[in-house]
Amino acid sequence: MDHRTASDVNLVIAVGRYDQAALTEVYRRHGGAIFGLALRLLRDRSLAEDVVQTVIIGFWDHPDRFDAERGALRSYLLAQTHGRSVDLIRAESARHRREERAGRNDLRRGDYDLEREVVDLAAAEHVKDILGTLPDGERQAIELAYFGGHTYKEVAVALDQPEGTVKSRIRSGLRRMQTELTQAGTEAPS
Amino acid sequence: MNGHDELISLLGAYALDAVDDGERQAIAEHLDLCADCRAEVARHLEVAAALGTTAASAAPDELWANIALHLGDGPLEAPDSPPLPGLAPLRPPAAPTGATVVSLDERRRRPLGAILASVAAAAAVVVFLTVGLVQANRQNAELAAQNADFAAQIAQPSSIEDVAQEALANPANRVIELASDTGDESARAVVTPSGGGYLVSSTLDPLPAERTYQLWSISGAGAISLGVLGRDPGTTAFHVQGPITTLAITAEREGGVPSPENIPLVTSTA
Repeated sequence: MDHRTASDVNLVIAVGRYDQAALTEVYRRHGGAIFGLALRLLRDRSLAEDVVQTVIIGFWDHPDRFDAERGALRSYLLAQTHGRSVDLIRAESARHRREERAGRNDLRRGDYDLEREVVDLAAAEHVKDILGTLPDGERQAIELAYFGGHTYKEVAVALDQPEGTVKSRIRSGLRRMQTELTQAGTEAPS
Repeated sequence: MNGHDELISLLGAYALDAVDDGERQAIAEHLDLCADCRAEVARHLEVAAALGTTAASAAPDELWANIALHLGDGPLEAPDSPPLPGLAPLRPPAAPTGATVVSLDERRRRPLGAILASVAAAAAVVVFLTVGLVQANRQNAELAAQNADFAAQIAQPSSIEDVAQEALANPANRVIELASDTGDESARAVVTPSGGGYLVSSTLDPLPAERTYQLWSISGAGAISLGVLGRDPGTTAFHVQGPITTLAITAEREGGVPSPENIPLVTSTA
C-alpha cells in the first residue's frame, strides 16, 4: 500500500495491522490540526503536546474505537483531542477554584476574544464566515462551549441565559453550520 | 436525565464536550441504542471538527519523535512532509529506550474484522445484509417476497451477463464503483431496489489457484460476505438486504473465509 495516497479508511485498517508507516501518515495528515486545537484550548504548549501524544498513541493502541459511522478520522481525532483537553481544563479550573476559594465567576462575557482568534486563521476563513453568520446567541454559546471548554451550564451562567436556551442554541447553531458547510462543500477535511 | 427529548436536547452540547459526566454517560449509553441520535451526533462532530481545524498549527519538531518512542516497536520514519503549509519537516526520531516490544505474531492477532467494522462508510446506516443468492431460513414475509423476486430474475433464460447489463442500464438501480487507493484497480457493481446485485466488471488480475476474490459489505455491524468471486471474477450475482454501506473486495484463501483476513483491494467510496 502506498501510504501517501491511501485513504484514511485504509490507513485505519493498516494501523489495525500495526503498520507503523500508516500511523506516521495519519500524524502527517492530522497532527497539525490536533496540536493546534489542543494548544488553542489549553494555551500551554507542553500540555498540548501531552494531549497530542495521548491521542495518537491511543489511536495506535485502539484503532477499533474509531467508528466511521460516527464521522471522519480527523473528526474522531479532533473529538478525542477536544475531550482530553477539556478534561484538563476542568481539572485545572477545579484546582484553581479550590486554591483560591473564590466564588467569583471567572467566565464573564468578553473574557474570551475567540472571534478574533478565529478571524486570524486565514486557513479557516470559510468556517469562520459561517460561524459569523450565526445569530449572536448561537455563536457565543458554541464558542464558549467548544473553544472555552465550558459546559452548557457554565455557558448559561456566563451569558445569563437559561440552560435550556443554551442547549437549544448550541444544537440549532451546529445544525445551521452543518447545513452551510454541506452546501458549500466545506465539511471537515478528512 | 429523563426522556428521549431531554437526551436529544443535549446532543449538540454532547458533541462539544459541554455536558457534565452524568449526562455524558447517559447520552453515550443512549447512542448505542439509537441510530437517529447517533447520526445527529456524527453530524455535530463534523461541524466541531471544522471548528477545530480552524486552530491548526505546526506541531513541534520533537513531538513525533516522542510519540514514536512510546509505540513500543522501535522508531518510525518521521513524516517528511507537513500536513499544513509552513510546517517544518520533523527530524528523525531518537532510538527507543526501554520501549515495550510486541512480537509480530502478537501484533498480527489484532482482529481485522473489528477494524473493518469500525471503518464502515461514515454516511451509511447500520444495515443487515444477507449472504448469497438465496437464504434458506427467511422468516419475514417481505424478505421472502424479495427473494422470490430475485429468484425470478435469475431464473430468466437470459445469461447473467445480459441481466447484469440490463440492470446497469436501468436508472432505477444504483451503480457502485469500487477502486483501489491508487486508482489502478477498479470494479463496478449494480444493485436493484429489491436487493439483487451484480458485480459487473473488474480490472483485478487473476489470482493463483489457491486464492479467491471475495466480496464484502462493511457496515458498523461488521464485515459480511456477499459471496466468493473466484480467482478471476466475471459477472457475479449477489444479494443484499437494506441499503448498501461499503462494498469491498479482498483476496482470500480458496473457498473463502467467514471474515476478511486481508486488506481490501478495492472499496466503494459511498
